[in-house]
Parts: sequence; C-alpha cells; structure tokens
Amino acid sequence: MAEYNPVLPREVVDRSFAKQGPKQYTLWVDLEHCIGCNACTVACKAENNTPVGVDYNKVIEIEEGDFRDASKTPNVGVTFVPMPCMHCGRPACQAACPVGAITKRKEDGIVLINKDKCIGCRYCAWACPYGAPQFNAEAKVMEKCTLCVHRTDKGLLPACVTTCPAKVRFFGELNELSTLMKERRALSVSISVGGADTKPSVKYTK
Amino acid sequence: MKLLENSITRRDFLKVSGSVAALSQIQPASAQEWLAQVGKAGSRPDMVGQEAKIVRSVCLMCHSGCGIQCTIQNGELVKIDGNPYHPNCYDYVSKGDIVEESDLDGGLNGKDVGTLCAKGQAGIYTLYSPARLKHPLKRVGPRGSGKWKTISWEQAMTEITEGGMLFKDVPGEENRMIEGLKSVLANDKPIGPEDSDYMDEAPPEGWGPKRNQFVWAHGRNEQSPLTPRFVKDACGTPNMLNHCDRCAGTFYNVVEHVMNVPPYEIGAYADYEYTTFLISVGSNITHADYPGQTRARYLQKFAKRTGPDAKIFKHVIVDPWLSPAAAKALQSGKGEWIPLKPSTDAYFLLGMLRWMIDNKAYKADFLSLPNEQSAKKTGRRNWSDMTYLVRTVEPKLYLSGKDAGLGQADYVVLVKGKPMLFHEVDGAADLDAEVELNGVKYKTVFRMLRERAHEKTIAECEKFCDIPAGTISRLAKEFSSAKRPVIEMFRGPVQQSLGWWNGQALITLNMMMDNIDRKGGYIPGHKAYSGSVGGPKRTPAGVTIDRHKAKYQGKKATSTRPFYPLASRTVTTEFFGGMKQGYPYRTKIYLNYYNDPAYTQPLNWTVTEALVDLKAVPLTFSIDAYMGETTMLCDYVLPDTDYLERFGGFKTYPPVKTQVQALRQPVIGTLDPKTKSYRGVHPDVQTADDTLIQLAIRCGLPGFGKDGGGPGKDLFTSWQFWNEFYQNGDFKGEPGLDPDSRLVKLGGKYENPGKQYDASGEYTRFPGGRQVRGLYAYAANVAANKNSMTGKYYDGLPKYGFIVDCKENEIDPAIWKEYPLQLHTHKDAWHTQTRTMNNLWLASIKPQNFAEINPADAQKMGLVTGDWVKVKSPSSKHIPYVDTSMGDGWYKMQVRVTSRIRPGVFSVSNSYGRWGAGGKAWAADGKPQYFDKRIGAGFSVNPLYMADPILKDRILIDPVAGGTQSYGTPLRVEKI
Repeated sequence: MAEYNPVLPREVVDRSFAKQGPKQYTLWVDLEHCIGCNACTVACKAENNTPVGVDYNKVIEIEEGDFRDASKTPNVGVTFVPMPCMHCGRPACQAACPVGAITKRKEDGIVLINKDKCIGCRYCAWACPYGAPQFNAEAKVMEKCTLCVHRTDKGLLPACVTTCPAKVRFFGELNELSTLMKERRALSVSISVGGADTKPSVKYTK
Repeated sequence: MKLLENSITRRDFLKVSGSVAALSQIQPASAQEWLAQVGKAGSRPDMVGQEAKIVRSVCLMCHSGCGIQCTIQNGELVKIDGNPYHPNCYDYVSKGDIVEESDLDGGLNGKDVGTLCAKGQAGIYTLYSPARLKHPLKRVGPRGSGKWKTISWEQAMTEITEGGMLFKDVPGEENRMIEGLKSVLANDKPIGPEDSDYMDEAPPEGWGPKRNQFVWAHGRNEQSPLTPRFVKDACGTPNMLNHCDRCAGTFYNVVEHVMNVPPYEIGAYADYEYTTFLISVGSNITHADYPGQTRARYLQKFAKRTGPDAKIFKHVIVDPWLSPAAAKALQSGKGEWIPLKPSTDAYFLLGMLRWMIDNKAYKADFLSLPNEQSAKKTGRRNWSDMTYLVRTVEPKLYLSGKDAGLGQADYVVLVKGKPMLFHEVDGAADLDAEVELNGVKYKTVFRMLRERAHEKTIAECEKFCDIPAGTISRLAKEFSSAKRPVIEMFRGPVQQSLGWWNGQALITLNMMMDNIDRKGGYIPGHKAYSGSVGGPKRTPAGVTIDRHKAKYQGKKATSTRPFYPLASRTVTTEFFGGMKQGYPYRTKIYLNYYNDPAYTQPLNWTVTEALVDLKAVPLTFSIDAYMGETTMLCDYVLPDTDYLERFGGFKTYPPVKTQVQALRQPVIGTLDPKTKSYRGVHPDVQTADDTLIQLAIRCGLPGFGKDGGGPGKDLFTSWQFWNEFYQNGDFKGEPGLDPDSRLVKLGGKYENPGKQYDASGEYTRFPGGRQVRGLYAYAANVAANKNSMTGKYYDGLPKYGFIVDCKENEIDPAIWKEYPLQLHTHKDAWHTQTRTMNNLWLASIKPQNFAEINPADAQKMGLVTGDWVKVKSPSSKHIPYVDTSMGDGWYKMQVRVTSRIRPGVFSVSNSYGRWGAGGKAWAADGKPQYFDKRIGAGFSVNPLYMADPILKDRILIDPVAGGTQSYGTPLRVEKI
C-alpha cells in the first residue's frame, strides 16, 4: 500500500526560508474528501480564543442540482468548502486598509492584521471577496486567520490541520503543496469570487 | 494525581471577548516576532509553553469515547486535542508500537496530536459554561414552574432519603406526605393491589418487591460499573432504564442476536479499509454514528485513498436525505444516493434478498455449512443456521433432534433429504429443502427466507420504496458480484416499528455474502479491557416496570399494555406512557440521571405530562449539570460535574480492531489528598458518582462506604471506586490511579495497533477472544414468544411492511390523506441531542435549523425558503414549555427548500429548539438565572410524532426490540 502522509513532513516547514527569497506558506484542502464536520472551525476557535460569533474558519455548503421527481435518478450535489483566510498574493484587505494595519510577510506570504493599529473601520471586510476578516465587537478590531503563525513559527502545524478527522487539510509551502497535489493527480482550483483577482494562495482540489 | 490548581476565573464566557488576563512571561523569541505583527488587542492565542500540563482523558461530548489530550495552562483548560495514543484519534497504519512511541511526559511540542471532532474540542466551553448548575436546588413552585431555591447538599440528601411533608409551602401540596428513598428501598414486601390496579396481569410470582417502585432512568451513562452497582446491586431494583429505545437499542439487540455476539461489544460496521462495495442504509456516517470522527476517517481516508482497493471502492447511501456521506459518494463520481421513502426499508432489503436468491447470487458453499467443524475445515470463523429445519406451524421453532427421532435436542438438518443432527454432518447440508415428519412440514431457514422474499415482486418493492425501477435489482447485482461487499446500517432501518426485522434482513444480506467477521467485511466489535470492584450486593427481582425482558404470564388472555420479552435494552418510552396509568405498578420515586427525555423523546408530551403528575410519581429528582428540559420538571436537582471533572472510563467501537479502555480522569480541579474527595471548577458541585455513593450510604445499602468494596476496601468516594476498579481484572497488578502510572499518563490502556487480523489474514482478530460461532438468520426465540397485546406469535423471519402499531397492524392508510407528509430527522456533525446547543461554540456554527422540504412540495404549498408553516401530527398536543407551540397541537416552523431531501418528506435536524439547559428563563432564590436565546434557537420535531393508535399515549414502538418509530410518521403542513 502506498503510504500517504496525513500531513506534510515536518521538514517542509523550513525555518530557513527567509534566506531563500519569497515563499508562500498556505493550506491545501482536498474537497473531495472533506466531510464538512467543522472540526477545523472549532479547532481554530479554541486555538485563537475567538469570541462566540467570530470564526476565522468557516465551512460553507454549496448545493447544486435539482431533484423533484423520485422516479428519476437525482441530479444533485453538495460540496463542503472550508474557508480560512486565503492569504492572497494581492490582498484586497491590505489595499483597503486606511491605516496600514495589514501586512503580508515577505518570508512566508502570511497576511496579518496588526490589531493595535486597526481602527475597526471594517473596510477590509468590505474589500475581501472571501469574508475572511471578522469584526471583534468587544475589542472593536478586525481579526482573521493567521495560519496559526504562533504555531508555525515554532514548527507546529496549524490547529485546523492537526485536528482534521478526514485528513483533508495540508499546510506547507505553495510549491511543495503543488508537487504533492500533482502526485495525487488532483486538479487544483482556486476559489474566485465576483471576478476579483486577489491571487488567493489557499488551494483546493475537488 | 497531583493536586491541580483550582481556577474558575479565566474563561469567563459571559465576557465574550477573547482577550485573556495576562500573557505568559516565558515566550520563545519567534513568538515575540509574530506578536508584534498582530498586536495585543482582540483575540489572542494562548502562549502554551513548556510549563503547560497535559492531561489525557476520554471525551463525552458524544458517546464515541475518543481519547482527549487536554492542555492546562496556569490552572485553566486552554485546548483539547485528540489523544495520540487512542485508536479513535490516530491512523494506525502510520504507527507502530505505542509503548515505544509513548512520549508520556512530552508537552505539546513532544508529540503530534490525534484528531478530534468539533464537539470534542468545544468541551472547553462546556466546562466553563455559564449555564452550568452550581448548587443543589429544590422547587418552590409547582413542578415545571421554573421557580427554585438553592439548598445545601445536606438538606437535599436528607429530604430525598427521609421524605416527609417536603413541599408544604407549595400551594396544593400542603398535606402531601412523601415517602423517602430510604423507606422505599428498604421495602422488600411484594407489590400488591395498593401499588397496582393490574394484579391480574402479573406473573404467578407477582410483580416483585416494593423497592422496585424506585425507578432510575439515564440518558447517557458512562459511569458503569458504578451506576449499575448503585441501582441493581445496592438498591436491588431491575428498573435501571436507559435511552436505548429512542436511540439505537434495536441495532445492538439485533446485531447481538443474528451475529451471536455478547452484549455491549458493540454493534457492527464495515471494515472500511478493505471493503470494495459499501451500502450504508440510514446511517449518517461522517456526521453521526459511533465513533463519528473515526469512521469518517476510515471511510474518507482508508477506504477511498489509502486502501488497496481505493480505486474501485464504491459507496451507495440509502437515505431519504442527501447526507454528507451521500454528497461525498456522489462527488467521487462513482457513488450513488438512493433516496428511498422513509420506513420502507423492508422492501428495499427483502427486494435485494429476493434478487440474490432468484439469481443464485450468494455464497451457497458457506450457507450450506451447518457446524463448527465444517466451518473450521474451510478456514472459516463462523457458520449459519441456513440449513437448519424449522417447523411451519406455530410455534415455529427449530426442529429438535428429539422431535425428529434422533435422540438429542439439537438442531436438525437434511443431508440429501435425510434428517441428521447438525453436529454430525461432515461438510455441507441441504440448503433449499424441506421434509415432512409426523404430518408436519419442516423447511430450512433458507427456504423460509426464499418464500418470504417471494411474497412481493421486486417491481412491487420499488413501488413501495418509491425508487426508480430496476435500481434494487441493479444494486443487488453489484453487491453480490463485488469483491468485498458490505451493507451496513445505523438508526435508519432499525429505529422503526419493524426495526428488529429490518435489522435481521440487513445482516442476512451480509451473511448471504459470507462477509461476517472478515477482513473488508461486516465486523462486530470486541471486548474492552475491564476492571472490577468486589463487595456485597443485593439481587434485583421482579418484573421490570417497562416489561423489557419480561414475558406476559397474566391471568387475562392479553395485557393492557405491551410486554417486551425480547428487548435486551429497556423500553423507557413505554415506561413514561404507562406511568400515568400506574402500569404495571405505580412509581414512587423517579431519578433522572444525565437524561433528558422531555426534550429528546419522540412525542415528548407523554413525558412532560407524566412527570408533572404528582399522583403518577410522588418524588422526582435529577442529577444533571444543567437545568435540562426534564430536570426542570423534577422536585430536586443535584448538580453534576462535567465530564472533564470526573473519574471513569470508556471503550470503543468497530471498525477499531484493537483493545481499549480509555481512562476518564479530571483534567482540572482538586483532589483532597486525605479524603480523596474531588471538586471541579464549582466548589458546591460534586460528581454524580459521589452523590450516588452518599445516597447509598444514607440509605444503608450494601456495596458502598466502609469496606464497601470488600474487607479493607472503603468506598466513600468516586476516586476510591475507580482506583480499585483499575487494579483488578485486565488491570491486575497495576497501580490504579497512581499519578505516575502508564494508565494515568497515557489516559487509558491501549493495545498496540500492529495486529488487525488473525493469522490467516482473512478475519478480524477479535482481541479479547471470540470462538468460531454460529450465526442466526432465523430468530427462533422471537418466534417462540407471543405479542402480549394479541396473543399471537411473533414472526421469526424478516418481513415486508411499513409502519405498524402495538398489535402489529399497519397504520390506517386513510391517515395519509389528511397528513400527507412524512416526518424525518437528521443531524449535524457538531451536534448531539442535548449537549451542544448549550455550547455556544457549537451553536454558533449554524445558529438555527429549518424544516427542510423538497422543491416539489414547496411548489405545491407555495413556499419559499424562510417562509413559516404550521405543522401537526395526528397526535401532537400543546406542550406549555415550547414557544413554537401554537396550541391545539400545531407548531410553527420556518422552512428551507432544498433538493437534499426527497419529495414527500419533512426533515428537521435534531438538537435545536431547546427550552432547557439555558434556552429559557428560570429563577432561583427569586433571581433570574443565566439563559441565552441562542441556545433555544430553531425547532424541535419531537412534539410532532404520531402516537400508537391503540395506546394513544406514546409513540409507535417496535413490538420485538422496543425501538421507537423515529422516522416516517404522518404530518400535516400548512403555510401561515
């Protein structure tokens, strides 16, 4: 039986990347096998201590097709799509932020909101096609998925990746992930919303 | 166990901000870097450093028993992950020896962690929930009034055990004298006419002792063997009722009979990794079932990605609802969704059986084997009763050797037409045959099944199931020609009035393919590691109040209410139905243990009306961590700790093939080093274990207190019990709950994952041992018993049918004219029945549910998503606590129009529409207590089931195994 690692080997999270030029760390989600159980949603919540109503990761359900006549074979489908921050190549949130609170880290491409600079105007939420930035009503700041930078900086995988019961989330450098996807002969797709081209880095296969 | 700091200050969820008190002083350099980049405002992850403490225990957000790894930082629970040593949470294929791999003292950075579902991870919220009860309570208004006062443990325990004029301050109860628990349990005199209006229906030896008028009902009990020790061994009553009849008791019951496995080992599923063709009937695999996350991974990873036959694996889902598993099956491009009409499973299953028999698409060589030696000779682990002869006149028992003139009372088979004792046959016996002896015809089980299957044509079956013509035949063909086929179930086909027979039919389909116990086949569970605690005990006696395992032997020809001689689990629904009537004898005291039938039981007005009736039950008390819907109807509430604050342990389920006993231990709180008394986050709350032990001691019951576990073994606390438990049986020679033991550090005893199959590689290994055994397609014990309502024998074979009442008649077809839709339920992965909407981390994932209907039905009624409808069933009644009740049995609901549900069905996901557990306002000491509207959001379908048309006071129930008709009952829906 071909061994199929549930998560990328630890070495993939290479801490020497800063010397090797720009890289993009990101997530790959295998949509064919994602069951929409929301374990990632709650892992993220527990890890990041977000208040009720603020979720950095959500799972949306897309229903397609129509089924009205039981005498015919149903032509329907449901796809579960986990939606973290896409850590875009051209982040619309960053462009929209009037106070420069949003940065894209050069060394790993992770997009972060500096909540101390954030004024809570929510322009980033309007600009983001993916609904990633969340408003923390009590602190009156925007916050979002950090790709668990506090964990990955220590060489740990993001909380959503370690907990996934169906093992469909993968973390790594974009090129490494692409290689893995090719090995799996999986067709990579990006989710594009409303024609916006923000170059989302999170990859999906379906 | 080391003393843990006790802290309740940190996770104050009322302050919804995630901002935490203070950052840990010790931080790695890289942490500083990112911290500067994200700033300090708003939500912030915990700085879990080397000083964090790991405690491994076992989850109880659902009943899967997954191991958990809890991270404690500064005395607070900050994260729950899967325990990497528990087989529910890891991929055994990538692991070797647990002993070698153990990194017992490693912190979070020491090991990778196991997987865990949304519910398990949200246990943090459950522990610190503001809705938890913090003191014992006594009602100060009428039952169900929602008015309480805080009392001391001393007062609560004294009043419950001693009785008296307990509610003299409540208007209408001034003179009500209540008998206490101590007096009831000490009364060994027989139940007489003063306790029962139905003495003429009692068996010759009577109903049993009066102490049986104490009735226990649990919803979730993972504290065995302490809880049965209290109820059965100490109180001495057989009335330890569970929730299995409204859950999946029939499933376990029928698996245990047909597959001939001991109770509680538990259920049967596909061995996903090596299965090539899987039909899941009514099984919400990936979002429900046990263990949810494990089966999801076995299916999604092992079967579809890493298994040797992943490329050809095909999954067929038979379900009126496009479940997530069905969605996945369709997404793969080679699976199918078969949306059959609810409660027509018998037609689907027997239709398949018919096709397979007609086309000789079964393993005749296996089915012809009549005994152990012939099974062993062919390298098999089991054989079946397919060749055994059965009488064709009632009672339709197996032909015994004595009756056949062969001497012994053993099974008889035919070999080339000649009767022989089954064990004397060398090789095969006649499969499809019959014989006449002394004027009576005897047929083989196989022939009887064939004739039964022939009662309907496949075209008729498809008409009943409302699925496209040719589908049943095609699936039967694919199933029977697959390399390693399995058909599996969970609640769908069995949680019905024909549930027993449907389950029998489904397992028989597996038997036809010789896949039982096989690698890649249909595999039952196995024994968990177990300990034990000795000591003196009483013996329960008498007829169970729900009449499970009780045969009707009364003087009248038929009984007033049904008996369930074959139900191996309890029929609690029937208990509540009979409670108001005092049938078969009256209840004096009801103890509600971690249980919520008032919310979870189909047709729940039968529970609410019975429990508020002072005559039906004079004293009630509840052990609960929340003000649940049932707890709120009781007289006293004794607050329980959360599952993260108690001792105990739990097993696991198939397809896990290694032996397990996970240890439950407190992840937080304090243990007194001298008294071994444990307290969790709330100082005036104790574990239910401790409460039961104290009740037993106060009532002078055996098996607890000084020398309770035998000479020199005191049992005053939960810790003492479990410490003793974990030193006996499979734990012999181990140091119990010693904090330095492997058991405590690993969070359980786990077998190495290496060995999954036996030496031949063909069969599962069955850790704990299992003999080569016979399988029973025919249920002779069922056929030997009579339905007490009709005096007619039950049918020992699976049968065609739809929904039947307690006399086994199909419900009046005319009813569908007025009530044309069929009720149906489903469930989301982040919900259980009652433990999740009061957890706002989970409730916020989908803030409300909807009644889901097909676009075809919506069009007929002019409905679009978001519209409100009113719904009623032939039996729905107003329940005063439910806000969506409009009176007269109508309930309001909001619809969602979706092609995920087949036409003609009204499907509502469970768990929503709470009015307890913080879902609705209540008061203690005149002050309003915590509640949150978000807990009560959405709709519950339980008030809307149809009652048994004969009994009228409880839902339709499977007359054999006692399971409720949880799907498919009629509904009327109107736009408002």
